[in-house]
Amino acid sequence: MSNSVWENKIIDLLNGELSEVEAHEVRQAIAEDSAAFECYKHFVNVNAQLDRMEQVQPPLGLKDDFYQFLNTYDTGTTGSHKGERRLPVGLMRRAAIGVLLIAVGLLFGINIVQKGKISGLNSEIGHMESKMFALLENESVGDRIKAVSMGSDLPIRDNRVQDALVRAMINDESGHVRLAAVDALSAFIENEAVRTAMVRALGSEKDPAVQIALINALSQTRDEKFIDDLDRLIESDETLDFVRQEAHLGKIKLINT
Amino acid sequence: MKKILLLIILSITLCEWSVLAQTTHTFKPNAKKVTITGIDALVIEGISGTDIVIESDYEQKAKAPERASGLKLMTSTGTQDNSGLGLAIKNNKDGVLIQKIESNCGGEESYTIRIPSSYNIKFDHSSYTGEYVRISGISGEIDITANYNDVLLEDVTGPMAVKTVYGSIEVILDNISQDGSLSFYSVYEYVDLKIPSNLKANVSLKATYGQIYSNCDIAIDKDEDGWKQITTSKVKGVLNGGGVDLIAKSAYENVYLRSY
Repeated sequence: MSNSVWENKIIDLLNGELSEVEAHEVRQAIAEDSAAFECYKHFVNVNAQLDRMEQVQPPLGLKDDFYQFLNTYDTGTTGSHKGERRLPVGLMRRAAIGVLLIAVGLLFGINIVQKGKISGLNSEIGHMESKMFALLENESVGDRIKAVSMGSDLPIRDNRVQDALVRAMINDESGHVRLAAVDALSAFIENEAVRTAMVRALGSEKDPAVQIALINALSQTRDEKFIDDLDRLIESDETLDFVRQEAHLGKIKLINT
Repeated sequence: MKKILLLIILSITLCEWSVLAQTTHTFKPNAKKVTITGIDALVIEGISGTDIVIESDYEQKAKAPERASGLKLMTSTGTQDNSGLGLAIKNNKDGVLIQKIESNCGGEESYTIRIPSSYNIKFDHSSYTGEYVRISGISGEIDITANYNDVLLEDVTGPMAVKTVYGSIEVILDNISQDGSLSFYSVYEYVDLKIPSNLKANVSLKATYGQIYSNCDIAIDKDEDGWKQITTSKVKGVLNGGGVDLIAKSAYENVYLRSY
């Protein structure tokens, strides 16, 4: 299928304009065809940006202002412009009301389209989130890493995805998945909850590669309050020498920046 | 004189034969998941059969002293050599566990393990004696965690998750499964990936304190604000329209991504 056909199908899917069967076919194609998946991701991002736009509302006083204007115009024409050729007042009033209705209709129409897109977007992001949560439960390490990767690409709507990444960073049995989660959460290091979770993870983590990733992430914060946490790691008998060296380096970064 | 020369040649030949002689242990696995731990120098080869075949020069290099005859080697993990190759092998329905038993004698032995190609493989090694793990011909999932071992992968399809602290990672990818992900991470050494030019992948490359080199035509992603996600230490994009997640990262060394 050509790209333009995919685009149309995916736009229809996002707008909820496909039948169940068609929607299933398109979803399947998105799952199997990388070009379709990229196209889908693109439109999801576009919609995410639309989601963040303020909706256009018609001014509430528009109707009153318009009638006031009509009355003023009416009064003016019956007073100072007698004898000039003009349309009958009734016809002008009807034409003006028609224009007003078209304008209001257009504004409402734009809002309805936007709401439809937002609704479609929310539905699809929800679908991707569900897929991510399901993959996180898979036995395959590769699938769980893929889930973490998906989580880092999803638009932030609420804390559920971030919480899932935090759970993966602290609880997943595979060091590969915990490492991927640290990397994904490093993008949100400005978030206090993420920093707190990383400190918690550092306190319990035994895999040296993940420990080093956590040290590097926390040392980027330039927040000296993490020095105590690094000191605890340095002083622990269980800490491997090269991890201890990284913790020392992390301290230096925190102090010097 | 001729006899002396003949004796010398014969004894040299016997010595070499003795050094090169390999001992083999073969068994039928009860599960398609094989976990291998603690082997310093390891080659894993995928085969079409159903047996696991282990080959090593262990006996010649790490033979127990005669005085230990009839005694068991004491180890902290309580494992015992039940293969004649310095390996403790557990074979149950949850998986096969091949564990190198601790020993202070020998230690330079190498192992070749031939495993049915579709099996999932997990390799763990944490000691500083780690040298290398080389895997080829495997289509199952590969999971490697090491501190010192270099990792070499060839003719493997994935999914794969590899991380090593002091080891380098070299991978030649061919027919890649589009399931799961391919993840390669080294802290202090380089990561070098060779991929087919038609590979469909979502690529994430990172070299925190190193450089990234590539000859691939990566379409760079844009973030929410429209900025291209490429810096000297990070590249995120797609190859051939996107596909499997391909992640390669090194904290202190370079990352190389080359197509062929």
